[in-house]
Amino acid sequence: MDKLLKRIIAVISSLRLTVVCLAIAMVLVFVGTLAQVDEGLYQAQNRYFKSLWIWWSPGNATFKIPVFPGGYLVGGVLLVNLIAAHIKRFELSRKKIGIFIIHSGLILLLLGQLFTDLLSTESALQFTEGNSKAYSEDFHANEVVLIDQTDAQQDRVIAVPERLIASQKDVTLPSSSFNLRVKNYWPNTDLLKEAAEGAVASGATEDVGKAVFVRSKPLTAKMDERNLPAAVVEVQAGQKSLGSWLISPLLRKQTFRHENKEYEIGFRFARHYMPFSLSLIDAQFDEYQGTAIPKNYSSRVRVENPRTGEDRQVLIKMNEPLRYGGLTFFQFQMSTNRVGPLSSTLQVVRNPSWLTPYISCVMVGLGLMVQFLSHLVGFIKRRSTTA
Amino acid sequence: MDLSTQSPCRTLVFWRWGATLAFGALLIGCKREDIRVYTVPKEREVEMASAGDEGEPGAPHIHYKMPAGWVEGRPGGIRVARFSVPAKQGPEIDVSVIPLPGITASKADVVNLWRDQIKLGPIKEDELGGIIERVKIGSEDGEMFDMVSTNAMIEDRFKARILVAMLGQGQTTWFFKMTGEDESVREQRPAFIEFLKTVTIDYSSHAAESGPRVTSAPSRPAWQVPTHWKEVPPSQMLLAKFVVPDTSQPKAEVTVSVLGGDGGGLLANINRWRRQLKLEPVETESLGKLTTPLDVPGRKAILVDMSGQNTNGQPTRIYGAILPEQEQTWFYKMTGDPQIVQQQTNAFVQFVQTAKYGN
Repeated sequence: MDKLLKRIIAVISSLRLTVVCLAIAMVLVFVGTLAQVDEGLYQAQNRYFKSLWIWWSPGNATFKIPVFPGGYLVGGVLLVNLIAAHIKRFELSRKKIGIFIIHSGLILLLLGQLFTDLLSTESALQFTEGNSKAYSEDFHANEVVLIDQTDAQQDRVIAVPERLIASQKDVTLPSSSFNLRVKNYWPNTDLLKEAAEGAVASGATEDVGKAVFVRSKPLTAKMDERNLPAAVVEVQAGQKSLGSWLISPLLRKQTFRHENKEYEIGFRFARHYMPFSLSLIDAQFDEYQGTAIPKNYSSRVRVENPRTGEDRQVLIKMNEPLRYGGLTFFQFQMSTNRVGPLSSTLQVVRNPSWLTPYISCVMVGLGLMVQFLSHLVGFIKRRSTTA
Repeated sequence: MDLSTQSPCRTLVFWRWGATLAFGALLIGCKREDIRVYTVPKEREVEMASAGDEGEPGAPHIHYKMPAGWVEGRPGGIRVARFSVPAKQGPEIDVSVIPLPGITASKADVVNLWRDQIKLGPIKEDELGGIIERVKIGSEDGEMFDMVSTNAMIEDRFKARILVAMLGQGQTTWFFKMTGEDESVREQRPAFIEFLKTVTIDYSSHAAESGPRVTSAPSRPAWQVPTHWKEVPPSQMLLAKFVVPDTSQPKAEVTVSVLGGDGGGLLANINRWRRQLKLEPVETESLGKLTTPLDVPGRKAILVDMSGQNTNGQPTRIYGAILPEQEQTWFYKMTGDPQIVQQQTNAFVQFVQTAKYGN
């Protein structure tokens, strides 16, 4: 057993494994970058880098086979290899202090990337001049919501992630007397008012969806598009059916009443709520004179935090984000409307480990300097001794 | 390195690291979202911080019945009411209600301003009949114009549609304007027409005893009117009108008007004047050649000088001054025989420069 363990340690701490991992990583980066042309950034990232294996399906087969290690596997093995090699060869001596700092920096870099993937979120906050929002919307994820609107001050939201709806199984809503029965689900759709080729009647029995036709579309991976799912869900209160609604981010708000309470049901872009609100006071969209080429976007926003009593105005510009409440707000897009009030979109990034790459780089730089200087000093000393 | 030299302590450290990494790998697998239950405050319209957005206490206001799905916004600037309507696609539809006390232009010119906003070519006064729709605004008869762009104007993806209903009341013209993505506005058109029917314009609590008066409207500046100019009653869209000289023919006239905001923009207004002179419209790059700066105390104005023909084919010159302010833009325009205009340029400039505004 001990022999086997030592053998394993020898393999995972070997320099050969490091070289193999780096070679695989190079191939992975090359293939993954090319794949973004067809699959788009988000899908290619998930398939090639945020995965243990790259899966492939031969022809029309329904099964998939792993064909190449994914980013998580390569990164994970590299991290294990680095730590193993470090533990195995570690010696606390003045001579090797530089190597120790470099390796620690690399380990921190790999761990930082792992935690960035695990903990970071990116979303969009879109508002028109005069609007206020205390949430941002996910770039990709959608959610089905059932909102109890009875209270005059606040709404009680039950948000179901799209994957549960996509599985087309019944969903029991917690802290509620309702169940959702998913009668149909389309991952990407067009909604039409009239029957057309490829469109089917929604089958909803309530509200606006009764007269809507659904045309399923292939999933999109383009950077400037997003999938717009739709579903027909039956709301059940105990054993009683309250009706079926067609829900989609394309449809307006739909409400129903049950036992003297007002509810809203919908399929919307998943929301990330913040404990403060931002209001768009003024959006500026400057173009180079005589052209339609954007020169500068900027948004003057009002930050209101009821917890701290803060109420101030901030100007967010391209390359001058607002960092507040653990979030970073970047100026992302601006409506190019020639009519009506302007609307601005901020990219909202939550990344608790955003400092790790900076600290890692400093550590690696410091380690290299220490190592280089210790060699230089030794060399000069030897030279002066021989002279 | 010989593996047999590894100490038991180091092996233990190895296992610890292994366990930590395995936990990390598990975390990767656990990054899945589940059903969330939470409470949030109801969404509200923002209270704008800008001081200038407060509605004036003396302003007229409207009563109305808001259609379902519309969200009432905070009126600001020249608007006395504002709504946003969720759009089927693209940004929210904007509905604004704006009373304006004086507009220089003919009805065709006003319509052409909006057409220009969505890059449509101008139409002539006699072509208006084909596009005017009669609508009820409260109990009165108003006129509505429905315009849609030919190109994508909104987010470079969607066509823009403007629905404007107009109602003249005394010297004030009320504009009810719905702007947004073509299909969404078309969908909201019936609701907009129903909304117009429910509107009641109310001056009662704030108006002067002499009758309807827009107290939020800009008051007449204090002018030093050249002695040989004669003031005549302005038409509906104007704040003031003068004729010079008042005895001989041919003559020139000077009109003064004020529009909310940038009045549609410098380019649109200069091109509107150019159309009146039967001149081809110009692009932004040519504005520099057509305009010269004019010193006005406390303000920056520009002078525009263009010559062409009037509708009867007679040589005509327009000598105008445009004075943008924060919330409104002043238009001074002298139109007439080129020789008379030439003689009056100094008097005109002095007239503009000596105007003292209420604020």
